[in-house]
Amino acid sequence: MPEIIVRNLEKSFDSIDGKTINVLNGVSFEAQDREFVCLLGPSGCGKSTILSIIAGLIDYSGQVIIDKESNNSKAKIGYIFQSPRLLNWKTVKHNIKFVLEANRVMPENRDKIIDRYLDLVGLGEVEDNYPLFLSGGMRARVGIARALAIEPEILLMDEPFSHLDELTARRLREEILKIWHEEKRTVIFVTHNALEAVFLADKIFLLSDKPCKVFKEISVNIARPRVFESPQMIKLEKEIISSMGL
Amino acid sequence: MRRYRSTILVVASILTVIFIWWIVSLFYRPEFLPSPFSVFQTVVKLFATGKFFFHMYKTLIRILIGFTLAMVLSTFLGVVMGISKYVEKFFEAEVLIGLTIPALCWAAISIMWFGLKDASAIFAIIALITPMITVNILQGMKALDKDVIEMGKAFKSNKKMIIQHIVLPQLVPYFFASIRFGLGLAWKVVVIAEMMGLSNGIGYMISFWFGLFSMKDVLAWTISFTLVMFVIEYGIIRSFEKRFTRWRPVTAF
Repeated sequence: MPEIIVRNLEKSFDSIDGKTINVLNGVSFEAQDREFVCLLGPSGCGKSTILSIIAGLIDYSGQVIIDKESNNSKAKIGYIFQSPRLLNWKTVKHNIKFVLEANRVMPENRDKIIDRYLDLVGLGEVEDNYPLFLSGGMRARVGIARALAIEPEILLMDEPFSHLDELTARRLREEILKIWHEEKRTVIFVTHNALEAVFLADKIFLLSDKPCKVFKEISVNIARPRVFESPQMIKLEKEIISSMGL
Repeated sequence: MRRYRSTILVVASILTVIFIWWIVSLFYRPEFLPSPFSVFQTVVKLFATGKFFFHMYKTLIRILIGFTLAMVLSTFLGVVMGISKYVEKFFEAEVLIGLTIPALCWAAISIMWFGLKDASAIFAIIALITPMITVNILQGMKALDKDVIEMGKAFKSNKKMIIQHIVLPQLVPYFFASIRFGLGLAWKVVVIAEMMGLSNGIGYMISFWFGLFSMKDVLAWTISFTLVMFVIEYGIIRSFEKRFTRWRPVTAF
């Protein structure tokens, strides 16, 4: 599994009224092999932009080094979005088939893989359903299964639980950790929820508001399995919140 | 009972129209407004003698060929214009001009170019409906969900896969809208071309009976054709549409 080094990312966007918005202003951080890393920052600070850059979706200045290679297009990256972004006109099964085909997985293996990862997220029964007939939580889980199905070396997760109710979100956090334990991949998880970051991550990078920069790196030394809202977690969360100036 | 409510409503509405027609026809000469019964009698005769089918076939073939070619061309143009702003700007003028040229002009031009042959009807159809369908498909392209396209790119799909699996399915409602008004327009221009110079087809027959001033026959041919179009809409188009929209939950309005 590769390590990811992000160095001095800079990115500006042109807004509608012609002004240039400086979103990223020298973002740097590292994720070690198989580490679970969180990027924690306020909404709108540019966290999603960082993920888009790592996924190779937009251009940027700076360096993204994956597995010791700059601009590594060979790295297999699974992306889990804030909203599931499923193809509503395809069944759950064909949604996953689509990404398997894009990643050139052999046709003979596809059904097996789809069954495996749908079972993993507890959706073995719905593979022939259409997304609009599923609940929000189920759609989120399809998005997770889809990203895992390509067996990526890197998982990029953009606030995947922020649109869900807290109960579903808690359940999915546990599931994500379980999956990460079984198949240790390098994960970069973006969130604005400090408690969620403390629960999930090995390391948290605190991001400032636009223009975005990493201003603190925090190692989460609480032993796993962690208990949500344990005293250690709450203590660390409080420290983080005060670091962010609140 | 509820399932058949819409059918009952449609049938009731049509029966009402026929009833009003009948009442009004009592006040006029049959050459001006024949009774529904004499018209339906003629319709039955048309179907029974096979006369109708021959001309219907000629008209339908022209419509089908012209319409299919127009759909292919328009979809290609609409998609390409949707992808590239430069292409859109390039064809903008021709499409706008094409939208304004009336069916009659295309019919006249095609017949002068292609003679009294099927090709003129087919060309007129293509010329008339391509700009409209292109605009429609272009609207569909502009309404595309950018988030799922981004998802496709994030998972490293190539352009072909994105167009086939992400773009085209989103254009399906626009396709069906295009099919509906495309067919309606195609029928109009085919009939004009047939009236102006071809020697068979629905338009030719209507022109023929118009020449003999027989309202009964004009109405009979019109209604026969309408019946066939009805069957195409409800029998073919709607069932295809249902297949393509199975993924969408039906919302009660």
